[in-house]
Amino acid sequence: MLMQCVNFLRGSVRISVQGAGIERFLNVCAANGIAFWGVHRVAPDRIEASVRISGFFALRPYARRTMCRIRVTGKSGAPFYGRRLRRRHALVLGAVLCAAILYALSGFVWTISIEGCESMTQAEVMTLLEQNGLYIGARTSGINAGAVRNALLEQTDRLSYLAVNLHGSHAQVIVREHGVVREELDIDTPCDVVADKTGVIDSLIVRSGTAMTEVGKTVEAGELLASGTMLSQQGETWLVHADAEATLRTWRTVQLALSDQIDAAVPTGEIKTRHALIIGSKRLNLYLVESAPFACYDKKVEKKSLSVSENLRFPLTLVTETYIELERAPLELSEEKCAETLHERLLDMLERQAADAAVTELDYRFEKKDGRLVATLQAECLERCGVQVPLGAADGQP
Amino acid sequence: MEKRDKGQKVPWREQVRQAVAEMDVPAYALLDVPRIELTGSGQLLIERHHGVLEYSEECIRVAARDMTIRVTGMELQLRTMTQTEIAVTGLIASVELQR
Repeated sequence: MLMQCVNFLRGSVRISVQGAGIERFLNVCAANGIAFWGVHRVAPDRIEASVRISGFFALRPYARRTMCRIRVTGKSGAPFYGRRLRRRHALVLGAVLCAAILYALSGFVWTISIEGCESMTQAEVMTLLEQNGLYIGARTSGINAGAVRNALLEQTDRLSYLAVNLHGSHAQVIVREHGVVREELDIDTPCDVVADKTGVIDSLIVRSGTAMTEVGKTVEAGELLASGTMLSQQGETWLVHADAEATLRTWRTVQLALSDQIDAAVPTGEIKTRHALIIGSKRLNLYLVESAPFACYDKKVEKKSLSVSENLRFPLTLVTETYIELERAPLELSEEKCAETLHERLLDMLERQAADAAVTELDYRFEKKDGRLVATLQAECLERCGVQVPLGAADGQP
Repeated sequence: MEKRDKGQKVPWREQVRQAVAEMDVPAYALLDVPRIELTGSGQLLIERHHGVLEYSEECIRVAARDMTIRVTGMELQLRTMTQTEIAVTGLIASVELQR
């Protein structure tokens, strides 16, 4: 296969050799570095073989010496195609134009990918990038990745790290956001540490200050964990910057109810599909369907971008929107299905309520009450606790 | 080593052949001997040939040092022929070395 490609690129000539000393002709040619392939005996005094263009021009003297006659029966390969196409001026002009346009367009940013967004949205980062000269259609030669990065980090304090990588016409932006940090008082300010939630103390580390509680005791929100007031053996009072870290064992209960007879949206079977083309930032609608084809519908959007590889993408996206008509119909759910749905929802609720808590035990129960299914999820969690408050504020809420 | 009669002249090629055999070096690396590689019954590669003596669809005779390689079969074809190697394809029935 590789040799076929090489032979195609270099070009080859199919020849017919006729004479008495064909073997001698082959030997003389081979001894002088002219390679043959596809040698086929078609008659006792005639063979057909393929030879490279350069080899073909060197054949004549050897043919004369061995009393053989050579006839060309075919030509193939890129050089012959090229020669044939050379006369087609419009094609050559088109190829040159295409190359020129490709070269010119490769100097612009056509796609931007933003990775690593958590609380910030991609649109927010994109707006900031646009303000600093990085947008779809911007000239790549005018973009200073380092300057864009520094400007963005200066403009917003939500980002801790940002990298701008330009790969041809594609700009890759990687962002890292600041984690949630607890507000702490200045290290020189005397303060207490109070509980910010209610629970049983599972572990307590007091780095500075006087411990006011111990492991196993119950604390309520606002209760003192470590005091910034220390009393020396000589009876002197010292005001320090208390620092403590406590882990609380807490219990959370979430509850949800669901009727076993609900109205659900059921597909009627009517579907309408429409397409649109997004070129750069312009949208070209390829449909005549009204914007809302049904009174009640479900819409599915599928986007397909034209890309050759990770780094070679084109600013061309085909959008396919599928509208599925729905109608309301009573739906009876089985008890198992209800319980399963409620369990999933309760876990979601718990995750939202105590995002930074580690769940150690879960207890899920459900019962039927007044034609409804009531589900209760009790979770035992371990949570970090303790906030610093200025001295004297410990009695109030932190 | 074999004992030889005093005065018997050993050709230098024979001396090299013996030395090569003792050193476990492949003979074709130092000597002008052909290397014949047969893949199944459809492909034959001959390296270090000295030219084609006869070529037809049923029989191909290739010259090599001190011998002639005779390939017989059906629909035989010289797939490639260069200064150093010959590739034969077709339905190969036999490969003979004639001295």
